[in-house]
Amino acid sequence: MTSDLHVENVTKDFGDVRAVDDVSFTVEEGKFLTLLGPSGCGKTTTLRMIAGFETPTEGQVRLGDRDVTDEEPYRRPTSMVFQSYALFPHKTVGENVGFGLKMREVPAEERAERVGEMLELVELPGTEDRAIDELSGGQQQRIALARALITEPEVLLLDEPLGALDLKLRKNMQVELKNLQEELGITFVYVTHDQEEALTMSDEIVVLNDGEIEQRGTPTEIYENPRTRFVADFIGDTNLLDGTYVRNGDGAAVRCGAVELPVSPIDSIADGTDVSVSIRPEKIRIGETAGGVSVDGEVVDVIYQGNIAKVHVDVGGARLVSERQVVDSIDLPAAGSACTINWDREHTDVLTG
Amino acid sequence: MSSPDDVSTGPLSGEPSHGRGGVRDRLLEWSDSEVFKGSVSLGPVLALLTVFYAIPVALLLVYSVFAGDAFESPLTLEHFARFADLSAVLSLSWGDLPYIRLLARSLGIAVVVTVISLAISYPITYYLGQHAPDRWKVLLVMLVIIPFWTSYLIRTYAWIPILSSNGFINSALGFLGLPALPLLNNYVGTIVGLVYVFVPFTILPMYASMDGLDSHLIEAARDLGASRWRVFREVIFPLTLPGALAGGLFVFIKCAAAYVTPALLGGTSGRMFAQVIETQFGSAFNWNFGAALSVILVVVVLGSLYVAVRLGVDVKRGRGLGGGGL
Repeated sequence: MTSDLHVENVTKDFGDVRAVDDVSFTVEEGKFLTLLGPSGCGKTTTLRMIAGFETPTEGQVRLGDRDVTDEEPYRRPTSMVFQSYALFPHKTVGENVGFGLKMREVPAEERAERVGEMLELVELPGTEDRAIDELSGGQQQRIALARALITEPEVLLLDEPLGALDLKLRKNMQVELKNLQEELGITFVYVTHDQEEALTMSDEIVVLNDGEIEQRGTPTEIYENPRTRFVADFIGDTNLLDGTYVRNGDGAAVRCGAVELPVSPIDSIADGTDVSVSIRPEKIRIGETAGGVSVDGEVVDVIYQGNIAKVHVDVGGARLVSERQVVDSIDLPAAGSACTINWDREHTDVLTG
Repeated sequence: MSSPDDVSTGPLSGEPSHGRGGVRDRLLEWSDSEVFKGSVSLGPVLALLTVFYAIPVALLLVYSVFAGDAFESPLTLEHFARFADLSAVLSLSWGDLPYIRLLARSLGIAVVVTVISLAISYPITYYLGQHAPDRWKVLLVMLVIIPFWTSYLIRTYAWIPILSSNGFINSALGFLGLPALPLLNNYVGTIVGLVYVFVPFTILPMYASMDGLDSHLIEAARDLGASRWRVFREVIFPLTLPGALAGGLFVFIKCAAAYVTPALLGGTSGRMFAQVIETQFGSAFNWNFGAALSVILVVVVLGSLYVAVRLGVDVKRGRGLGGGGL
């Protein structure tokens, strides 16, 4: 029997406020799913409903065939890693990690053995007797993970677990967490507002905004083919232009002020509809005219960032940013010079939402 | 606060250091010393405590060891012997030791009042600290404090019509066809009155502890399989123990020496130690014996305080919170 996690038409109201609005998704067993969105988008509330800390106003949470919507947190085969870690400050590392086993009346000897194994798994062996406040943030994070994993949950729920760590440690932990998840083969549901973290770790991403799902898909799908303006803007950097969709014969274009950007025709969009266009900066080439869409403009700004440079180009009043690898800084165009920018038509995303 | 280095590197003006032993330099150095700063900041408090606390206590000690007028009559331990007659203590004849029995009862009542106060405070402060909506918290805490705006005496008198044999409670019982309960002029009255007066003193420090308790710790414990009782024992109790100890000790100390409440509500079986002391100073005019009883009360209360704090620290140590008292 598979134990895929199903969240079905889940809605949660807090008084007059609808925190989560008709959210549905499925996580296949052993997959890494990320709930991504800005603060207040309902991602943590959704996670807490899966954990059992909140009861949905409407909808169901199922694990395989089992409806767990109204089950107590400890009856569900889920475990939660909290943003603040929520380690018991008055207990040692060993007592923290072994807490779940103690509550399940596992004998002390077996408990000690499994705590030892868990600490080895999170690469902190022999720290059983240390006090929690003797550990660094990164170490506390690992202990929180060990404490949640020791009860062998089918689904591990993580609420921004890396939020309190510094950038470098966070990047290391992202890779480690992903490796750990693959090694253990259990389902991870991960909540974050950090789009880069989501892209790095996830098998699948659900983008939430204002309690509703904006888009769900693999990191590549979400990044390459954002379906709404919100997703295009929230995930990565992008050039967002507002304009009008116009049909011309077999082709189509989006008119943004003085420029008209040719796009692939989309049947579902009527002529004259207000749309947005998203083009990722790294898709825009400078000084090439071969193939795709070419537009003439003027370089207004060149921002050098070491490995990459961002070239801001004014095209008939609209400003597009082109991002390129810097191989040799002499190659960078000068501000004020005329240039032609060029990109492939399929890299233009037309967004109606 | 400036470090001692600021002084030793030379005058503040930046001139080369000269006249090292100069009065000005010495004054500057002294004014920057920890001793000076300490005495200036602590001085007023020390003076106040000396005049209003240390001197009266010293007087009690002095009076307790003289037969009559202090320094004019012979030194004696007769007052302490009257409290604890050695032959009666050795033969364990409690009937001959009325003062010890009264002290034991007072301490017993203080313990009961403390335990009841804590038992009432746990659920109330748990709700206040963990579940009450933020906008209600201030109001609810105010409700705990508001009774203090009325005189302690009046509030204690108010219990008489509630507890008396034809008071509210017994009228209600009679209306229901139940027998009347003796609630006034006995130890029940004393305990009810003391709990009523002192419950805010356990609620307030425990509220501070509960409010500071990260609710995620409770959720984490629930998530890991702890029943409600285990959550209390493993997480809430140890982490709010400082508040409970602070409130509990305060209530215990105040109750052990309670005077007004037992005098108004306690009758004979609710009589407490402080009333006997008052009798010695007041109607019996035996200041020396009264002073001896006061000294005994202070020593016994301080002793129980020490034991309680040690127990509290041990409980915390046993749960892995490396040392650190209150």
